[in-house]
Amino acid sequence: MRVEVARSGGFIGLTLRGEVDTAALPEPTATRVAEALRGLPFERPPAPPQHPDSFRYEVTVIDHGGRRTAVLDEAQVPPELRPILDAAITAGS
Amino acid sequence: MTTRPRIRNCILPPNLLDRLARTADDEVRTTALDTLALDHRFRLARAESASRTGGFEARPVTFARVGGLANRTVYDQQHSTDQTPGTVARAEGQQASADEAVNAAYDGLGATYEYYWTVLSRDSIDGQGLPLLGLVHFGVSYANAFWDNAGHMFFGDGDGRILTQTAKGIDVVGHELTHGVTQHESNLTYSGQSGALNESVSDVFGIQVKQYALKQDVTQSDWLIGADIVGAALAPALRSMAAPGTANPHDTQPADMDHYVPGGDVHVNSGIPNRAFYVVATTLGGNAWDAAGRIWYDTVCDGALRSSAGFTQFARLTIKHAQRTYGAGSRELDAVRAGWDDVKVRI
Repeated sequence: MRVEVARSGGFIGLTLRGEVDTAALPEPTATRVAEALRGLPFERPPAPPQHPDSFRYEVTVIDHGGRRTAVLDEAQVPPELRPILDAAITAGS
Repeated sequence: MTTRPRIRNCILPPNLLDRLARTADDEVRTTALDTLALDHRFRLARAESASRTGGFEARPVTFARVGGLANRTVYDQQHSTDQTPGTVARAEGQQASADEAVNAAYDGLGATYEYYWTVLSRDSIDGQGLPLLGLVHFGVSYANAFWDNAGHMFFGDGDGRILTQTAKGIDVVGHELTHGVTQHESNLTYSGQSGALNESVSDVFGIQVKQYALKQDVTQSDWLIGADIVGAALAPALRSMAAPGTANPHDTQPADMDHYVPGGDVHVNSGIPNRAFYVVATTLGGNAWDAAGRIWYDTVCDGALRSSAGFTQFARLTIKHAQRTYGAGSRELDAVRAGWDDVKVRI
């Protein structure tokens, strides 16, 4: 599945974007990441930030089912997904 | 491993004092009883203080503290994302570490304390000597730094491209710790215009902490936020207080109300009050804290500044304080009006 991510907030305070295709990831990471993505709280409002300068992630998953977006405070991002999203943003910057 | 900052304790423990009070001769008994009474009051105060940790409503109880001394501890989180303080890397008064991030955090916390104490007579974040706790090497390649609203500042090492070592930004430390000051004062709600004000206040005092440490007046400062921590992707800086929107290719900050972004992130619309402060400070000349910083601080601490305040309410209070401190016909009051005119905030 293809993933588009936009990260805003943080001390940076900018919106930075990136993308990644789970097919390009090695196993077993690819499977773990795909599971984490499927479990995101799509179409639900994000949890409120726990402190100032917290990141906010907008994660859009594109697969044969269409496009679905989940908006998350950084505290809500599953740990196996976090480095993948951040690496995509760094690569896209 | 201690997770709380070290507090000085009495040398004679209560049980020894107790024995002396019961069995020693009169002079020693009296002394022991007096000491026990004093000791009891200290313990009560500490217990009360310990039961009221963190949060906006908590006002720690202190005992006749003479301000002027920072109480810093820097911890090494060793790339964990656990928010409990890890290993103590440098305590107050200890010599420099081999770890540059530790030293940078230590110095930044100290510079922030120094600014607030010397310029504004504020004893640490809560005005009552709150220990300054810095936690470095938080997470892996974490391109961020934050104050957790519970007395700790966390520093990421940066990802190398977007941000480098965040502890090296004196303005970053000043910005984050000022969120703590705001939390203890007006507690501006972190969304909408009150959130943009919250962010702006952190930039306004963050830049002054840096200017103060580097002995820069308003003409010598570059008025750039994050210049010392940006990577190649965001050079030369994260934000410009002089020219919002021009700091880097991703910067979308507005410089006046005509370009206010409805529903915008709090870091975006903060450009407007940032620019207002810049205009006030540079109009007056000298050091930013001579008058502009003073007026802004009095506004932040004004009980009339509600947590839901918008730009207009904040601006009106800066006018009130300029008038009160400097007089109706003063150049300071004129400069404050000019600042808000420049960004088109209606008073």
